[in-house]
Amino acid sequence: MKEKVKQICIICCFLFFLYPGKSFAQLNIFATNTEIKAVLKQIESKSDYTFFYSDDFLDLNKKVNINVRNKPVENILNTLFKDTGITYKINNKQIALSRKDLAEAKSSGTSVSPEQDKKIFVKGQVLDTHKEPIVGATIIEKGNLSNGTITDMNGGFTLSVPSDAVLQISYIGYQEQEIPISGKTSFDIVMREETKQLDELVVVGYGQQKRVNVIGSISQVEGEKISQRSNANITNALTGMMSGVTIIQRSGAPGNPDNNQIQVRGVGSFGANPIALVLIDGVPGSLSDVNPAEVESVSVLKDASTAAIYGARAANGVILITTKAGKEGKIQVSYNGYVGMNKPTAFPDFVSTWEYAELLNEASNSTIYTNEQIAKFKDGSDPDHYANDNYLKRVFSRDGVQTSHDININGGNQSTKYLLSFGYLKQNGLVEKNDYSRYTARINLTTNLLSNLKLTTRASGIMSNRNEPAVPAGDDVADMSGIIIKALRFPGVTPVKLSNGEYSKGQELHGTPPAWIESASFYSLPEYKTTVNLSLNYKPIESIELTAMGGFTHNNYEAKRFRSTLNLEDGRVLGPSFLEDKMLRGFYKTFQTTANYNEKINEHNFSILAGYSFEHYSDRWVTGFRDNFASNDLPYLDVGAPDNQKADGSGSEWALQSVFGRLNYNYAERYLLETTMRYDGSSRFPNTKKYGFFPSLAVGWRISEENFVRENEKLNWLTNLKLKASWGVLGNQNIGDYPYQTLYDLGRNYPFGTTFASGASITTLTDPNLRWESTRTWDVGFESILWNGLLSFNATYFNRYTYDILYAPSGSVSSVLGLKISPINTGSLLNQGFEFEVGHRYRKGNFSLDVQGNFNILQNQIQTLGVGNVEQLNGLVGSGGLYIGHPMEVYYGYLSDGVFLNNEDIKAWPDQTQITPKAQPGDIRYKDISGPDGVPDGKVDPNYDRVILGSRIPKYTFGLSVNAAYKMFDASIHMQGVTGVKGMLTRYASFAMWQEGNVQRWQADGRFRADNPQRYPDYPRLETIASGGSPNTETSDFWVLNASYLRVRNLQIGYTFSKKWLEPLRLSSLRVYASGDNLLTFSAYPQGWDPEINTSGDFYPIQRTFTFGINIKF
Amino acid sequence: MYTKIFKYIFLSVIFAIIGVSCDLELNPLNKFSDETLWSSEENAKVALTGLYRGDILFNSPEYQPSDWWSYGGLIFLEFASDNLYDRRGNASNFFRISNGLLVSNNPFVTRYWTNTYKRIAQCNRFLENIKKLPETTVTKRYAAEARFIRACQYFYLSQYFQDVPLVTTVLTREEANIVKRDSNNVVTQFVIDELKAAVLDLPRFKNLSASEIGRASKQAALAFLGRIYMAENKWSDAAIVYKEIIDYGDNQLAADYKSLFIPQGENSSENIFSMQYLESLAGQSMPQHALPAKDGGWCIVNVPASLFESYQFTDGTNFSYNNPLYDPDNLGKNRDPRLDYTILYNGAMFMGKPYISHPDSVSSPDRVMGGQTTQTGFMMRKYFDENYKGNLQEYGGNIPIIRYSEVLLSYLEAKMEAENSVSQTLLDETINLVRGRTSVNMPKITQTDVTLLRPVLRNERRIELACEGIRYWDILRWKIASDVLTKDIYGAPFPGAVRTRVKVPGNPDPHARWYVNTSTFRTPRDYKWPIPQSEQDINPNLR
Repeated sequence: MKEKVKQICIICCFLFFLYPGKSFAQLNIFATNTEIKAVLKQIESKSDYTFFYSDDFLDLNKKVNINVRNKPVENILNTLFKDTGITYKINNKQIALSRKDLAEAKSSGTSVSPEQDKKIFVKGQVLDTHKEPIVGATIIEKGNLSNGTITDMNGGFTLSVPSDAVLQISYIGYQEQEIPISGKTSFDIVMREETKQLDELVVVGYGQQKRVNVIGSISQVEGEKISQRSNANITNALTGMMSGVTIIQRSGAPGNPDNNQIQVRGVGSFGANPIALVLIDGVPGSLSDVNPAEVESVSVLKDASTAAIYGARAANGVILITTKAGKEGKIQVSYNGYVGMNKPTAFPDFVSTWEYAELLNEASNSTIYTNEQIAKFKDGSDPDHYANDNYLKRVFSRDGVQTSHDININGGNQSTKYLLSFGYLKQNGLVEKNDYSRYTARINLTTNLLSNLKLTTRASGIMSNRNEPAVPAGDDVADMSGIIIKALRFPGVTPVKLSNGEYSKGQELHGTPPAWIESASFYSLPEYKTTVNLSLNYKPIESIELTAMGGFTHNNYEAKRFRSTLNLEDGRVLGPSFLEDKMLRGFYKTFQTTANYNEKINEHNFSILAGYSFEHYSDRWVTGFRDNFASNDLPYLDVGAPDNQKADGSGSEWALQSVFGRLNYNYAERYLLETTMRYDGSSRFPNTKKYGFFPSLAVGWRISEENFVRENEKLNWLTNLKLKASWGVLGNQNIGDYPYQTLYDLGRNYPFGTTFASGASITTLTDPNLRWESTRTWDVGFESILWNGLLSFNATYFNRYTYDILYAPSGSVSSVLGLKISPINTGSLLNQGFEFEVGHRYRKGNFSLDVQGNFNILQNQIQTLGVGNVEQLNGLVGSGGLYIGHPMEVYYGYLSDGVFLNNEDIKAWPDQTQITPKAQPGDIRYKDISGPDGVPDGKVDPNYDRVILGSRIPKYTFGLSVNAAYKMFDASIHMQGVTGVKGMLTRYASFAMWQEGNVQRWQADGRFRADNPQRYPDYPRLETIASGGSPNTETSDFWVLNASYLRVRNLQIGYTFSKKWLEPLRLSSLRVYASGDNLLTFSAYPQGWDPEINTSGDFYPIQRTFTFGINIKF
Repeated sequence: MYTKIFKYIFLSVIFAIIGVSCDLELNPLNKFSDETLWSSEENAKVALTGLYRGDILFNSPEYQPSDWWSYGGLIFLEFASDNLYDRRGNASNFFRISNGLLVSNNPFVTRYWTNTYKRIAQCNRFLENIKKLPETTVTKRYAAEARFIRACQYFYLSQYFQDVPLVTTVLTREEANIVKRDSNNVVTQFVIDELKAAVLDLPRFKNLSASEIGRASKQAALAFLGRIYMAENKWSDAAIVYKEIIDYGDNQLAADYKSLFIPQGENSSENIFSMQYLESLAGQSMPQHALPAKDGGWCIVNVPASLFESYQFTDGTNFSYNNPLYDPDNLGKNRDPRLDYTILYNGAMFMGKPYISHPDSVSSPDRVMGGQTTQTGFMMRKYFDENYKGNLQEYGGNIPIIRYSEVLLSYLEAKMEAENSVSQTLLDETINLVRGRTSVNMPKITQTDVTLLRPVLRNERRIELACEGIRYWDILRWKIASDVLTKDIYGAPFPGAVRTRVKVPGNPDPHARWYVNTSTFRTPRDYKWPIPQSEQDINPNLR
């Protein structure tokens, strides 16, 4: 056992002046049969003196009687220490205590005994890394604990020690040091701060581990960083924060769970859904189920060795969310709240209607609008028939507002600790009637039933409601996405409302999108979810821990879509109104039990975990339908007409059963070994293939713990260096609930006369021998902390090979089969890449700086499609957009070389008629790349002249966050970006006049003009385009965009009020902040479009948010 | 003490839970398996209903043809003919079938192919499994219906793709990828044999109960048999089967032509076999696709002048712009009444309001112009109940596939071609019955010279069956595509209109017709549809 030396806390105290004007050092002290220690405290409380001492070699427990009045402190101390062998030294307001014998020896310089002949005096100063003195550090002679002292105000000390002694210097919060005297008598000792990183714990599957001992790849973000970001959901807050975790925000619609795509180390499969498993306190859920304020930490298990404990579902990473737990101590109440405003990061700009009319004439090469009509658009003389409206602007008519309020109460005693949390969030979208609200409540209790039996109870509830406007009955689109598509599509040539107040008929005689928003139509989705889990933790002996956890989640929602009637001009009524009301109830239950055994034999540390888990989910739903509602104000089923009622309903189930185990071993925290296995059974596979085995192995070597590093002073900048390697196999089963059974689908009904008869048919060919999709992962890397955290640097190479991919190769089975193909185990995919993390922490005085950066390189490559390997004429092998040797999610199309300038140009160019039968000037020129003989054949055709144009999966991703604090100010900036990625806008978003569509400003300005032909215009000639597209809209590099971007995700400035302001308000802390999200984006996308959006028209702008927030602790 | 109690509770809870909850054998809650389905005739009927359904869409617009018999597959195929024009013009994948732009990746051709084999596979599976049930009249009838449906699928394949793989058993994935093309003779012979066999076990039309409307009858199978004989130029065989239908006497022409195509009259015995739709529950979306803009439709189905001009004047003379009976302000005046029942033209009352397609109209959403409105100035009027107020995507009107008037006209054609002569009696028993129904009441045909009668009969067939999905097939089998599908396509005449559309600037149409497009059918290439490129890529035997 090492000696621990304590330092008495320096508490802020107020001096009590008995006699103002007199020396404040005159004190009254009364104590009867009181320990010296207590007397010292009394003195401290009545004066501003502070004592420094080490009670390991001073007897301060001796009881004394003392009774003094108006005496200076010296007198009191003299009385107090009489006959105690303790002496003191006062320096300003600090009083250092030491043993009289040592002190005397020190001052006289004479030896008191023959043994002390060899003793010498050493002196020195103890400083921290910023050259500031450390006061009260303990210096003792190693092996002779009674010989020691503490440093004074200047960090100085003197000590008498044998000439061959070793000094041990320690101070709380700093690393202990041992320095041999070696004849020297003067020492300048620099203490290094104990690096927290070394003791940091990370959450792993079924437990926690010290970060330094983790061999696998885990990214962890603390809850504090998440709640600081004032985001409505966790996902946004995580973007760019973790290496190897790519989060793409595809939409900004409030409360929509599909807004974000999370990719852990690439996209793991082209078959089974490659989504990460999300576990909230051990129970599967979704990231949107948690209020960010409740999160203690989020940890992402990226490699096989860490994730394999979740075997069958872990192939695409595991996200572990731990919610906050109660802490022992006084009740603590905190409040966090913010309010923010949102604006789109980018918004398309359209031409005016008179420009549109002119452009339409140009595009159709005829007079669709006469000059008089165009003039009417321009002068606004007949706004009822010739309007200049902008539907999209009217649909996204407002600034979004979001506000959130959270209260956390936590506290407890030794036997029970509690955390209560309540949260409220409200987001108003950019569209009227589009909002999202969420109420969350949580209670986490830890109860020590017995000293070795602990019960953890977690109960949480979430109630949310998403509201969207909908389209009145009759139009072919139904929901808000449809309103947006049509607002983007149609030029504003008719007004929303006529001058007489009636809604205009719009282009399709169904009114206009802004009018739909004003109708009584709506979509609402209230959701309720309750999760309760109980966990018993029993330690029969210190080294064994048994845990049993049981939990359930009950969720239900009601999706209600009401499409009202709407009165338009000329007495036209959209209708009939109808209501669809769907209710779903789902029930998830789980039971998990683990046994953990920890043993330490000398330097051998073992930890063994064995466990069993069972999970079952089932849901049922019903839908009701009625139409012809008596009133738009009563959107409830029973108000609908009784003659056309429909009902529907069904349900599904799945179950998983697993046993798993893990062995951790390390020798002196130096050589690390971990092996995991999981045996998983799933209801989704046939009897003989239900079970899969998923093993992993990882080894690590902490070089920094080796003696040749620790004892080498030249290497003492190397705080931590670890080499690591891991290997494992993981599974994926996201392929629907019943993929192997040959089944007749009901619902193939057919009416015979007025009898609507039930029908069924087999539509899918299933594979009765289906088995798990597997991913074999290995990775190697190192982690380092240098100069005690001044710099940290980690690098990892990973290689994820997914095989037996559960892919439905529909593109490679003849349709003569007559059935769809269900997934079969075929094909393989490789994701490999590097992850780099660099960190820097710096503290000096009132200033602190924390920089974290990450950079990732990813290669995603299809290895084979198995039965999907169809050899294309141009040599590519593959089908359905997947080609061997190329990444997934590719754009496949032509290479272009500008546009045709004139007819001579068209004649001189290779024959392009197979794509563009009747080419005109301004049509895109496609390159003749190859032909049947492997060389350009003078013809551009789909078989030989299309190439891979790039992928939507980013090759390089990076993030940088800088946190700085000075005195009461703090500031942070977080930037994130991707490069090596392609994107594409299509249909209404990309092409002018697509299906009678509108023209965006950049299309009009950048279009090819016959009167001023340009070889490389931003847009080809204008043409009216039907739903099938035109030769110019074929996928080509003309349209595939560089989707790289760099974005300032978040910028935040905070101010923490000083305590003296808070005291009267009875607050213990108060911070206010201002924050901006998505402030700035650099990208090559066309005007109006955010680079994370690849849309054909169904989009919701990503938003720039300005937030003001407050954090209060009571 | 407490420790012990807790320990036992703890352990027993663990074992209790492990003991009860390890069932990984979960089966779908709402689906039949092979075993459960083929256990009774009732269940087999569920599978039979599935065959009738095929892949047909209900209550949703058919953006692509879903079946040979659905509105989007049957009627819209006339976009490839000179009867109808797709508003989307050259971008239309139907129009591309016949205007020289037919390529092997035409998505609609691919769709026809795919859905046809889907239905064939379902029939094959049905026929293999129905044997598991004891043979009764019911199961024999079911089998005959499955054979009828399958034979019809091969009928269409043989007419358009011609040489196709003849698959009559349930295939494995591997087998499906190596099938070979069978020659057209083999396929048509199969259709003939199967239909003949089906006729034996199918009930007669008159014996179909109310809840069996829309199911196959002897007459329906015979009518398809007649069609394939006609396509094969087996005229006398065709004449025999058509005569058989006539002799049964179960079917009569309806007096009211118009009502045959709207819910009120759709169950007339004239409609031998119809695609069944049911309002709201199993509705069709043709109103959405085809109604004029003023009534909320998308104006997809336009009619070219060619069809308009093929209707005679009421006196039985062929149409001419120079005939004084022609009234440019009322295009239906003095014309075969079927024109008014079939075509919507400028100024016609429709759904309570006049339809205005005139290019000079200021505010009509239906004025002829670029964009989402008629491209010809004409629209299709057949099939629409003018009083319908329901959802345009859930309309209940049936689509006739075989009508008795087709049987009569085909019988005449078969007799004429087989015997190279006709009698007035035969004309009176066939074409003149069709022309003479109360609501049409056109003068009798008296031409008995086969050469002169042939164009008369073909024109009669064109207008009687206009927009019913037969014209394109007729064009192919009569081999007249190089004539009728290589012409300029014109729309309605608008004499004196300010806005016009002409083919060559400065060279207006003498009849002031709106120029629309030009069709360029390639002979002989386009007589045969290419097998979809994706199929060729997978199976080289299909190249």
